Amino acid sequence: MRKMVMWTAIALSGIAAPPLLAQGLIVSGYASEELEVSLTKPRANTFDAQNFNLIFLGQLGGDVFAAAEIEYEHGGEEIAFEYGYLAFTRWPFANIVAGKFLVPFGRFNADLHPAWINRVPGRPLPNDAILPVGYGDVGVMVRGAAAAGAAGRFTYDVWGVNGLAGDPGAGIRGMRDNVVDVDNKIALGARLGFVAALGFDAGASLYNGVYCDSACSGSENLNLRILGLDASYRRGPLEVRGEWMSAQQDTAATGDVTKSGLYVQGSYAIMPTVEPAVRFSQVSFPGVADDRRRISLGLSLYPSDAAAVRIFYNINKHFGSGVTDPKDDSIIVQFTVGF
Amino acid sequence: MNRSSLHAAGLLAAVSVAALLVLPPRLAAQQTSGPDVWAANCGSCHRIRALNAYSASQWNSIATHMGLVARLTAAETRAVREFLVSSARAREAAETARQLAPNLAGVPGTATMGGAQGAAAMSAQSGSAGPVTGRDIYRANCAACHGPEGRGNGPAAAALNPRPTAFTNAAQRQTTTDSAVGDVIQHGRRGMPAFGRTLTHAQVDSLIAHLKTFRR
Repeated sequence: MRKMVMWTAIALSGIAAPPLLAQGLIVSGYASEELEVSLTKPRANTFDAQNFNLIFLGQLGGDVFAAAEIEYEHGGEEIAFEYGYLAFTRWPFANIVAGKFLVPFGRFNADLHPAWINRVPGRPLPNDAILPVGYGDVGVMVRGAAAAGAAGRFTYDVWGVNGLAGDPGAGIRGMRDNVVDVDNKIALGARLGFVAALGFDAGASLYNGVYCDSACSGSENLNLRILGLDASYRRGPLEVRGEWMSAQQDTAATGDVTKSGLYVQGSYAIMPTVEPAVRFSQVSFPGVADDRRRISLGLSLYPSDAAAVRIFYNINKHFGSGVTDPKDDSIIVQFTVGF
Repeated sequence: MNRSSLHAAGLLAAVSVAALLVLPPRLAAQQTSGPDVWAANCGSCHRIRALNAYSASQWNSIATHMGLVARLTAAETRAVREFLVSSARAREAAETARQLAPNLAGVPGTATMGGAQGAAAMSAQSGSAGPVTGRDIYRANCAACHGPEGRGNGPAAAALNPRPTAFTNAAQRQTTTDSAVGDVIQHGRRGMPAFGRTLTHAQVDSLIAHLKTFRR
């Protein structure tokens, strides 16, 4: 039934698209297909039709802007609206966004996660376990910027959303999709940033919300707080970026659980069609013995501005007290387009 | 991260947002160049799209989208919108003129006006009074891609395929006429925007003269 509704919506979009395109509607999106060759024994290879996601953008009347993304991922295993929101853009310092939007904690979740944008296949480890990509939530956001003379601009995002929700001590990745708030507590977040004219930008993000209320935990409200820092530098063919984040998760019985991680990524376009890149990412879960580290090394080839072929080698390391490293390095060959 | 530090961070965020909302309007009147904003911001996440990829009305929507997601100031959003939309309109006007040219052949006063010239005449009438020297025009409109010294190495160049033309190129110097350069400036070519609606004939001539200084 869900698939039928989705395909009907896509078909109707196709019929309505031509006249709407003339009005400024953009039908764009991105798609990616991946072959992962796992170097564990016995060796396992798999194709993954990662995503075929359609994005609709349109400037409506009265300073109202609309955007939505339909995601069709892993060969149809996941079909959903990744986001769908209206934005009111009349005021110079404050844009109001309402609906379901990608939470702009750090940069990777809201801005960089599509495969055709991200210069390294896959998400960094902290964006899997701490601020899970893609994290879209329902609520209201105010965002804007103010000039800082010739030096650059200050930016801000402040949001109130239903928030992440799950069982006491549960993994954060499984806490998404709280479309109708189960704990009746609004989660709040903010990111303050500075974008320098010289190609440098940096920001600090904060998220705070109840992820399991007293009815869920059987005792008290359990909070989840995440603090993050991000920075990037881009000059000509060089780009370097990184994020650090730390989550403090209340649990009813065992006290707080702290989860932290970071990634650093660099790329250099040695010519317009060839761009080597490397990414280091790591997550630590003190007391849980599930620390992980990944180094991804490879290059992207750009047959056009809209397409990329990425060939990367992933060196994975699992460590911590009593952990046996499974030696699960892998090779990724990814074809991705943004259209 | 205890609760008091959390409250302090929240208070700081609230004060910062409140300060931004009441900032004096002059801070919104930031001096910006559309091409510079486009080069610095639109290629910071993804590869820059060719300027002929969308219509004027679609670029209008994209400008709002990028203003939101790249967190541009109001002045930057306005500048990049004017650059992208006016470029697309110039290209569309030139295309319309080319299509109408055969039908205008018998109309008095238009017999000698080809499609490209017709578009140029239309565009020259709508050209804005901007920078007057070729150097200023180049800095405002061209340097973001072609580089400050015309070497084809501006901030946006790394994300463009094909690379922007280097005006210092000796081979190009031998084979390119002023008329051909003027035609590209006014009507665009592949990923290069059309400036027929933003520059007057006199400004295009000044710009062509400035481009020759890179060849010395």
